[in-house]
Amino acid sequence: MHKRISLHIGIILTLMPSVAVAQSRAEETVYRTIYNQEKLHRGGNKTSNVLSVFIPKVMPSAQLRVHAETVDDALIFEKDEICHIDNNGGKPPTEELCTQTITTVEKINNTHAWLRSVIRDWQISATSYELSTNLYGGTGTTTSVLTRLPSITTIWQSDADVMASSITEQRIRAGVYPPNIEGLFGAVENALKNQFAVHNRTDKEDSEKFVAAVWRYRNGVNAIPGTCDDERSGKGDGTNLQFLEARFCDVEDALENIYNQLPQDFDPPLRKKERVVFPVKTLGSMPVAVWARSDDVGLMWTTQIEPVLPSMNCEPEYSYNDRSEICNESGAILGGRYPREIPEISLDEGLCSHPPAKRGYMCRAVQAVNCPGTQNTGNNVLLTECNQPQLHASPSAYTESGPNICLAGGWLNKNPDEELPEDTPNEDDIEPPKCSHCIPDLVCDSCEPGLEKKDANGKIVSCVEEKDKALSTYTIMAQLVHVRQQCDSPGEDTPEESIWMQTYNTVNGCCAAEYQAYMTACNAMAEDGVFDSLFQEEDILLDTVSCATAFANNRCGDVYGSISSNDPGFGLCGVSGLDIAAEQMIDVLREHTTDFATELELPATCTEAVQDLDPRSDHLKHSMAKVCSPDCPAQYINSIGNNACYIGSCLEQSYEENRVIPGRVTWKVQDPSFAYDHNRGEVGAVNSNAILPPVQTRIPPYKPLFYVKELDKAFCQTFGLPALTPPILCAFDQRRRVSQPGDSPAAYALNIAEQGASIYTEQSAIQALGAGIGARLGAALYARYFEQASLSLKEVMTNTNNLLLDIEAASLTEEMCPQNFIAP
Amino acid sequence: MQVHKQHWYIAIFAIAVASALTVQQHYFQASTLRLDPNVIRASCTPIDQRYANLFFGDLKIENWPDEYHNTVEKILEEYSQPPKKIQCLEQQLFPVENTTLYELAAKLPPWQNGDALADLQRNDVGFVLLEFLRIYECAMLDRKNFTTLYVQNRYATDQDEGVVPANQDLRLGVQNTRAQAERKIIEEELAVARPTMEKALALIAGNNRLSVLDAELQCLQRASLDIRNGLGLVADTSSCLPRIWNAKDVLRKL
Repeated sequence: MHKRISLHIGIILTLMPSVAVAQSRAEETVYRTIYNQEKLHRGGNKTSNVLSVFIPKVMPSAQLRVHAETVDDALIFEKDEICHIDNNGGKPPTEELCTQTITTVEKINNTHAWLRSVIRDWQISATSYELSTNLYGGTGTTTSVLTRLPSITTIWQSDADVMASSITEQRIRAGVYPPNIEGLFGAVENALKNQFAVHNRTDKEDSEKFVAAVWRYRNGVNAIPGTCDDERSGKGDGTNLQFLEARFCDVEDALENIYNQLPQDFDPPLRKKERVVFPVKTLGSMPVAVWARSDDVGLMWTTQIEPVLPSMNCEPEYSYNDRSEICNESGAILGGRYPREIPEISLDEGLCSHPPAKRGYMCRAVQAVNCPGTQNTGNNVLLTECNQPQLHASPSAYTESGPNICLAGGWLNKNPDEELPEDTPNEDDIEPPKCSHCIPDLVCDSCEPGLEKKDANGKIVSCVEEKDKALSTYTIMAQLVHVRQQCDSPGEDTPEESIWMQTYNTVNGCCAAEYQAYMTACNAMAEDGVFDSLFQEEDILLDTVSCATAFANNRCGDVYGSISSNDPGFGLCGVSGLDIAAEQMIDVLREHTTDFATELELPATCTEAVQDLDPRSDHLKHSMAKVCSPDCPAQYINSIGNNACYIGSCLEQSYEENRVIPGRVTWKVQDPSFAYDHNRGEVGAVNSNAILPPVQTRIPPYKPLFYVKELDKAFCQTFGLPALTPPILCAFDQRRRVSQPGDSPAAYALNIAEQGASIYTEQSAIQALGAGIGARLGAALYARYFEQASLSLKEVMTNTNNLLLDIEAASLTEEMCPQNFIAP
Repeated sequence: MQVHKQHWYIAIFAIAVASALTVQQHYFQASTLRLDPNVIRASCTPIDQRYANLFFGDLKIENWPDEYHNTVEKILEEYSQPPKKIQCLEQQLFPVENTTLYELAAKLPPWQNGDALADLQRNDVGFVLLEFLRIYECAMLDRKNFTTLYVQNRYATDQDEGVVPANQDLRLGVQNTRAQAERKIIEEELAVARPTMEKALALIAGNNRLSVLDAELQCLQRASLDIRNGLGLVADTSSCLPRIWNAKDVLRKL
């Protein structure tokens, strides 16, 4: 019993120092951490635990034995500890042997300490940006550019734009943690603290595993395939990079516990690939936080200072593979070999798995009018893939009464007071609800070319090709947009004669209607990863605009016949930019979605797709409701775009259903009632011209090689030499002084001797400048991008502001419609 | 003859040094007149009156590193927190008064001029800290060059304060031990302080520039919210538009 108590006390006492060290380290500020690292590196009195343990293992056998606990003694020339008789096999060591041993220790330490310091410098350079662009924000984040931009976008965009956008957005929404989850974060903190240790011989802190564990789960615990093997937990494969792939089972368990507690059901239901992001939780005073999404949970640094440095220890406590090629018999990793090539990751993995990063130019192709690709002069590294849309002209959608705002729909929420009748895959006997001018009736069949028609009751039969199979999910969306486009048009007993059909039966009208509909469908495909999958499996590169153009070409080609061209991407509505013809592209999409229906989580047939309607289609179906009509509530998410959709709809309704100028009711909207109507004078007080500014965004090219060469040139010029690569060639050239002898031989000799030191001063000055110049260049890239991007936004804001001021200044007329009384 | 020649060299050397110093002094005086007050740099010695507000005169050297690093640490910690207040409509986005950065800058010669201090910005943190580091290094170098003198003075102070007996003279051994201890501090700080500062500044470099952009975006976000609210009101009003027309047109539609 006593033994057991003693054992427990012993365990507690053993654990206490590591917890205390973890605590002390956790409370260190960033500056203090850097200061302590520099003291170890430059102070020359001490070395890190890693090197204290490593150096004795690689000392030449002909020299004195050095122990982990006496490495620091060697560094401060404490000879008594080094020149000990026990370190020389019982023989008294000579003075020369002592000096040799100390010099060797110093050399090994300096080499490795320098290398590790350089790697830390790189980390600091990278962190200089990452710190400011923290992926998930969180408390204490200095800047939140990444989280602020989506927020501004959300305030501005209408849901109609989002559905038919050419940019694939990763949908995210914010979530809250369930109650009583706090303790689980404490468990993660404890699991991380357990990765700290104090070496029993050096009495120094060993944080290698802690640092590795935080980096290992930066992309989430579920992103790592397979299960964690307890026997290999916290151990690597015995190579330099062993901790990049090591796993830490207790940390994984703690993170998985949090993941299991996250809510899985959301209202409204999540769309495919839509993610819920939960608040970031900082772990006590550690510089580490936990991020959580609906699909994964992981760790992140609040300030990234310490990288995963090359591992130097392959003892059994650190490595499960102590017989790797570079692990010596003492348990030191010798290095000296290039690590294996790291495989290229897909656009859904690693950094690009994080929703905020997914918007970045490294994780998606940019759609821009100006692409920087043409500027590749060989000195650029182009991280951006940029596509230029190639349309004949942007088709504009319009109806019988002119252009309609937010015509594609999708911006209205479901009317809570009204249930839509059930829609089966066959033709149904249904009628529009009270607050809608139409009702879609989806039918799976073999369809005739052309557009769906609205009958006199308001029902619009929308045919979905049965052979589309898994592609039906997306063709349904296009059909629903078609329904929305003619929803407010009058229904006819002979629909072919409707004004809407007359509009559609022109090339421009057809292209406009089809392009708009298929932008919605193709955007959904891009969002669901159909294009990514197509690229990975079939090596066919598609984007939203090309896809929509090809569909429009195909649909209108069916009606009017294709126009001939040698370019397979050429068509009636525009140039898709594809290598294959539109029909072929649709066949490829049809086959691919059907073959990979399970992986893409798509209903396999049209019938299933109608019965289990995609949330986006459901949303579209509910946005047929009337706006601005009495007794019909309209609900939408409060954004500038959605408000604009609502205001625009009300204004259009005013003009289309009511006469602004008094007089008789005319046959067509706003036709003149009287001959003198044209003298009506100015209407209203809104005089501002709201012109949409041109989109001027352009990702600037990133030219690291060019900048490095410039720095090399500056360095070489300091020594009066032309640019040489590598610049170390400029660092020391004896001819500089030899070719210019001085008057005094002594001064001349002294000068030659001091050349090295003077060069070192210049070198260190330029080296120190490098990081600063790099930071400035990086910030300049941001500035150049945002300068143009924000210019467009600024102009839109100015226009909006002017419009609002005009509306505010508008006064109601005291006299009734005076326009007709203006003298001709 | 050799002795005379040596004296001659020393004389030439002394004249050269004196001329160089004079030229340098003139140059600095000329620079002082030409340059903006923000780039005036005071002399490299802690006895300059303009350093009177700093700690070099009051604190013992063994406490200098703590004082210096604590100040830098506090400023960087303050800087790494998001700014509490953003003045979207003012020229200076981030007010800097009542911060440790402001307090330190007020003690340093370039900002002792009131106008220069009024122009101080949050993102001037690098300039202020580098000037503080320069003065710290100057003080350390001065102390290193005259270690013996300082040790003797310190011993006299210790005698006055009763730390050591007043009748106990400073022995050479004690003097050397004290000088060695001081030199150890100085050498370590001269080796470590600047690289630490450079790394810390590199770390905040991105933040230094992006914080302005971030603040502008925050202002844009606020303006967007205002516009959204404005449009929300317009939307509320416009919901009545068709009905207003209906009310007005009721007679004319007949």
